[in-house]
Amino acid sequence: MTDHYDAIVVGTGFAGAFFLMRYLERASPTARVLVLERGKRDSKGWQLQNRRNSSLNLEQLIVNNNPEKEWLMSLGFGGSSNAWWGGAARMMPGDFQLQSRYGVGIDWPLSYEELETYYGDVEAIMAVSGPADSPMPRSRPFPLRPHRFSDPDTLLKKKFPDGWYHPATTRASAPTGSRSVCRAAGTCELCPVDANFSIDNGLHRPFADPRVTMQLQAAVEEVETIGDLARGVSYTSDGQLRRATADLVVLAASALFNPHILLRSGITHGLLGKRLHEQMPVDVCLNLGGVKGYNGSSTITGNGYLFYEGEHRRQRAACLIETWNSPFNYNRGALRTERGRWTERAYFRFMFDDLPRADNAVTVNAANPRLAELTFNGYSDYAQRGMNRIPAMVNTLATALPVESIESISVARSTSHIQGTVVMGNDPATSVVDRHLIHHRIRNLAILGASAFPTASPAYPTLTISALSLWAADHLFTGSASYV
Amino acid sequence: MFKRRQFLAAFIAGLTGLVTWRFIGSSDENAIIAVLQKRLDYLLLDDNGLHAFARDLVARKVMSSNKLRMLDVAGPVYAQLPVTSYGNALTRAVRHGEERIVTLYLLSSDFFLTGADETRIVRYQGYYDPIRNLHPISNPFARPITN
Repeated sequence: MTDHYDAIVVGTGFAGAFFLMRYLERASPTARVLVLERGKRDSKGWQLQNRRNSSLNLEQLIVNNNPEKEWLMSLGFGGSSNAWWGGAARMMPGDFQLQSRYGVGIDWPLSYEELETYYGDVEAIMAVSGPADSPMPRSRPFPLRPHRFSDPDTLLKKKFPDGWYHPATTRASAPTGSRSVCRAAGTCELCPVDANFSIDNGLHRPFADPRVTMQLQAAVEEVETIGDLARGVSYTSDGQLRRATADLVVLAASALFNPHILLRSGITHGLLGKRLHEQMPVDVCLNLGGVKGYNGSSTITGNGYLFYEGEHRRQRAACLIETWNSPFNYNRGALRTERGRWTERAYFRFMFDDLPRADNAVTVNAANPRLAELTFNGYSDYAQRGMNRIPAMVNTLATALPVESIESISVARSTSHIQGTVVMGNDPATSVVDRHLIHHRIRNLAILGASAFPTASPAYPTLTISALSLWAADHLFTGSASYV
Repeated sequence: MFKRRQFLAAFIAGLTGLVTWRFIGSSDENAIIAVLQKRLDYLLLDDNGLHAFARDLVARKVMSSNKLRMLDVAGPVYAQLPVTSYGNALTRAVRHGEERIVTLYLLSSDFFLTGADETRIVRYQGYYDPIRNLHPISNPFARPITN
């Protein structure tokens, strides 16, 4: 049996939810939309009770050829919005123009200025907390006031007024109606007071729209095409293979499963699935003398931009620093044991941008095509050169902080920011989707999310993912896509 | 020469036996208690609470049992190790483990909730679990937002 819809949206995370919201604002009152979600709708209560974000394990759906590299995402209604830590920074203007400004990597096919109003829209919907000042141009203030700095952040801000900022975050700094104030528990993936934005607590309404039919536990197998048109999808539900057709097919199933579905569908491209990447995360723990940390008002209390934009990007990766404010989180903070000095410590994460490598890829597992196979052979030399500068960076921070010693420097296993496998660009020969995230050849197929990112900014990808979904939905109705 | 070899063999066998004997007799809980008694020797720790915390921590399996038991085996050597000597990768790893245990214990106790008063006996209140929100303050050092 086949049902026909105006649109089929695959995935209910940030990319799918923001697209659906804007699409429904623009679509006719009689439009019909089918939303397919692979997982269940696991309530917050269920998540806290079971200490996990989803009843569906990612490990059951992938083959990781390099287990030392961890890939983290959450499946089910709301996707990774159930597990994220609320980092809602915009990308910097230079992130969009790495090649033209610094002669490395490739430029994005759109600019910061083109996305700016969409960034503002997303910040309003998410009720993002942030400072009055900002390292990038903004046309409107943050909806919520900033969180409180920790003492190390205060010293860094005093020394580097244009390099250290309160973070842009969805960990609420004031009650929002659906979220309470962050209590700095350090367990954002399972926030006990639901202070962080999620699709379930902040953007669930589009899914309840009478024009929408939502099908949970529906695993999309393939996008079906005829010539240069997407006809619909096939999906498995209740153990049965089903089909649905639509005028528009929207994949928003993550940077792991967007390419996996396309590859299984025979929609090939030389770059499809390749360029799998994340930022390079490095955790740096410093012992301080006489200054106490962990005393801000949220789990992450500072963002350092002093090693971000600049001519160094010609040679090595840019870096965004975050200050961790939790003494509890297993590998990201602990108290000191010396008498009276328990919190004389600063714990930072340094996130370096990466230039994607073609040998890092998502493929279809030969033995079981339903599994996505992941190969990761390492970060780029560019990112590595950035990391090698950490001792010099710490010396710079030490001009503001009384650093006694470096307790540890360690590369973390994941940022949970998977990107790059369905790259966007203006040239169909070097990209899979165009600047509006529409497939170059199949013009009624949109492929949303961080899979489209040409390069990994040091900034968190979520705000950009969400802004791009609004941007893509808007442009479907302004004639840039040929199907409307 | 032969006697020297015999002596070496006997010594190695004896040492192996000693380590094995100590390992068999070791326990995760003893190692946790040893860490807390050593690193928090400046505090008055409630003995029953110390044992209860050690049992609760072991039950949650958040620390490597093998590492804890090795620490217990190395007890006499470990007890003499000062914090300042922790300069290489191995000793830094030991310190990281110690800090995790001390952090969990102090956050599970009333120590910070009562103003970090070192003259009071530190009481274990129940295993620290910010997810289940058993404690009124998830991060006792966090300060509220000010206008």
